[in-house]
Amino acid sequence: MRGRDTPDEPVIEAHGLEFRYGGTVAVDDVELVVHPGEVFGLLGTNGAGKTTTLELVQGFRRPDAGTVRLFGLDPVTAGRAVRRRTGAVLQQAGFLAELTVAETVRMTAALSSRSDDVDECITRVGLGHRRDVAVGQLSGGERRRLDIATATWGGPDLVIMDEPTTGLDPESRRVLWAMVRRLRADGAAVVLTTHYLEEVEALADRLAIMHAGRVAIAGTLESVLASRPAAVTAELDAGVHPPRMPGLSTAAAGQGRTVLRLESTDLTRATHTLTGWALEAGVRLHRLRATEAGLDEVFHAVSGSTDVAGPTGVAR
Amino acid sequence: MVLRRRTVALSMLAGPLMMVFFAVVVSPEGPEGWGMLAGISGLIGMLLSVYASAATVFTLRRESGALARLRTTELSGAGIVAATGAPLFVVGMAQTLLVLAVFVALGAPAPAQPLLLVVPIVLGGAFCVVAGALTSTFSSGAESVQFTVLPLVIVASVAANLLATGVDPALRGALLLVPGTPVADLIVTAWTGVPGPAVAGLAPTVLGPLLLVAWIAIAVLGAAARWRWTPRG
Repeated sequence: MRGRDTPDEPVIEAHGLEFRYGGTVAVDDVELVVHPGEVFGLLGTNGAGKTTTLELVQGFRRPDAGTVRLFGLDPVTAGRAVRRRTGAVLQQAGFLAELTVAETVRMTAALSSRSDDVDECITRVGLGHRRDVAVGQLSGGERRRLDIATATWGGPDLVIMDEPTTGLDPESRRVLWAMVRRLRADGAAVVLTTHYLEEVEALADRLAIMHAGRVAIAGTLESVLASRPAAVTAELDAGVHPPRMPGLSTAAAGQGRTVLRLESTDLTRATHTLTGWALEAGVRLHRLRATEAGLDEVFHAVSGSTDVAGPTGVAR
Repeated sequence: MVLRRRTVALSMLAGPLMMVFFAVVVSPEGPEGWGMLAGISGLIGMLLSVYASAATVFTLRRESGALARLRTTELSGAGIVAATGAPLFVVGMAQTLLVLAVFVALGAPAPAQPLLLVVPIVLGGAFCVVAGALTSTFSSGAESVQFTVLPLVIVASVAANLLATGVDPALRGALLLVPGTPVADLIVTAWTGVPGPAVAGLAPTVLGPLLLVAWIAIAVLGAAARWRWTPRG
């Protein structure tokens, strides 16, 4: 299916998306652009608006405001055309328990204009030995692998995965990660929502963190991490007076020591500033550490704050 | 696929078996007696086998996420509903024809207008499927659907019984307005070859199909307005 679009043409392009459930704003002014061959991670707490955003993107809901284009088409009015090129892993697998693994994949094949091989598709996700077992007899991890097999049937151009690894065993998670990497290598775009930050760190080329229906921050992992200050920390001996410099905070530690914490978006400069002061003042810094902000810090800072959007809130 | 789900398979078998059992116990006489039994049992059989099963299947598939999954495929929304309801419709029609054939085997005279039987069976089956889809939107799971199907099953069965036993024209008109009852009236007419009294100047063979088509349209509109692909949050 791939190769029809120019490489720069976005697979997903959403602007100013808004959606309300009654009086509750679920999605508010969301911007989202995803390109071919890209894994895009969508993070957020429960109720942040991730699933509703994905439903809007897939055309399952009509936005109250804003526009969505999948492969340049409106997914609400051109649903069949966009689904021809899209695979989806939903939070709830929704398989018919009475069908076997092979029958389930065959049913997927019957409902898809993409072509693939049933046995290969099953084997790709490590379910070859379970092909004639009823879906109702599969473990949660096996069912999720089947979900991935059907979503990737025939190599779609876009795969949307809504919390695909929640509750998965390590082996099934490994299979999923491998599938995501293979899809990216094949030029497909993957949009992935998850609660696991390490998953986004391992897989995503770009990410967005949603909070209260809005994209609070978005960009590459590096740019998102750079949005939070890194910190240089050290301890001073008892009786040594800490320096006065912007961004420096102090706290008492054991044995009369003072903990210094210098926050800055420029870790190299902050380290230089603190160690430069210590050398000039002839002061010894104990337990000196320079640490970049982690994704968990960014996530907690964003999901705990009401200061959202702004110039970094565009998931391009 | 539908028949692999035990509860659905059992509910689809319950109706026809009950009708045959009634026929054996009642053992009616003459075309009128058999026509009355065929009309009532045809409708009740459809309500139990097709309507109740459709409501159950749509509810369970919504609750299990199967409808939402199908929605990610290339099938249109209407296509998903049609594909889910079609097997129930086909099995329901086959069951009704089988039960009526068993009646003949038990001694009933052959229907006077066999071709007319096609109308209530096809329209009744279609009505039961779309009414089941509508009822599923009021049902939150396998337990609740057992109660949400009851009003139509009870009201239509009682109305069909009254209609078949003969009532005054004013009440007959009101009873024919009850969803599904024209199925019973049309089967009786097809079996006996004697149409019931006209209502509002319309012969039963005209009014019945019109009413069934109207109820199908109402059920389709209602289901479309209330339809959900995912369980209530």
